[in-house]
Amino acid sequence: MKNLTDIEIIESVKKGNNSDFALLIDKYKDKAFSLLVRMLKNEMESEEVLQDCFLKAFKSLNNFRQESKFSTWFYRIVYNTALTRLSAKKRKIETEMSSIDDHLEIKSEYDFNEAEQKDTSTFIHKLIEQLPPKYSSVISMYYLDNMNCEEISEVMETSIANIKVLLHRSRSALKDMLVKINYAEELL
Amino acid sequence: MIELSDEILNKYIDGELDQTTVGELREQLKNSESARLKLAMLQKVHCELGKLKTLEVSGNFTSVIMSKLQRKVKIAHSDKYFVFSISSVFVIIILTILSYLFVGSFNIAGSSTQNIQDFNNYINVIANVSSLIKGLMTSKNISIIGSILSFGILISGYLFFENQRLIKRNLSKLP
Repeated sequence: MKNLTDIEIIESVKKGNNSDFALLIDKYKDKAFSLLVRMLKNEMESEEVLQDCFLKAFKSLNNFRQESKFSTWFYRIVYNTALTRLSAKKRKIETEMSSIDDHLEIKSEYDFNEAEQKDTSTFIHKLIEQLPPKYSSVISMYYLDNMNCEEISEVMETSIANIKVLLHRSRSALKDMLVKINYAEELL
Repeated sequence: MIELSDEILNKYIDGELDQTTVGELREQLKNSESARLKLAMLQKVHCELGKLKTLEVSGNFTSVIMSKLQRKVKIAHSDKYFVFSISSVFVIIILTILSYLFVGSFNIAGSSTQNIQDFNNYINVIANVSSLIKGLMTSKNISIIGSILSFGILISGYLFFENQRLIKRNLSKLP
């Protein structure tokens, strides 16, 4: 496998070596997939959307001006495509995303079994699925992709302060969910 | 006195508070068991989120996208060649008409100025060509040229529509 930087791969693709685009796909597919699954809450649909995202990225590669990292640019495509998909599915995402000042209340409808509660990681993963797309995407980008608040704000096209608020509220919401189902003793 | 809210505790976890506030907060934490529990829960959540695992796409994901890309590139190429060939046909038709007119006028001009100097020949030829073009701009000729162009546009429009339909059909066949 070639050991090239993102910029080198992009330059190579621009020169006509289309097969090098596979390197970018291999590098970002799983992380972008994780972000999509957390936003769309459906693995099959996420894979389909991810294919669209890579095709869009390939088509728009000439528009990438290297003002930001490729990952940030690509995640913006992924995030916006997911939002479009959610809007199309009439999930009333607009109301949900309109203001971060809205109180974040998560309904703990999921029936957690004992085994899931014993595996903390799986349990937290299930709880994240209960978060609204905007919150779960911040969690995914911050913790899985190790992106800082500035990069996330570029992807989501909002201020850094808003991202911090979203991050803190997500954590608090998860904490509240754990408290609600009396999981505090298990965790601590 | 700081209110030990989730917001301030989250800022504490992220190291966003100044030294003075951190000092005050630690003092208050000593005296509040519920706040300590809240902080411990938030820290645990933060820690567990850090251990999240990346989800994996299906094994042949990359090859599926690459095959789609190759097809798209092929279609884009054929689309480009189609537009190029249509424009070429138009350019050839226009050039043929112009050269026919030019040669015709040159012959007329040539036969009538056989014994005159070359410079004057050229001047006459240019003058004849311009007068011919002027002559073509009569209402009758304009309508003929217009009809030819309209016919050409209709034909190319039909071909373009057929081509787009073919592309759409090819795209729908993609896996």
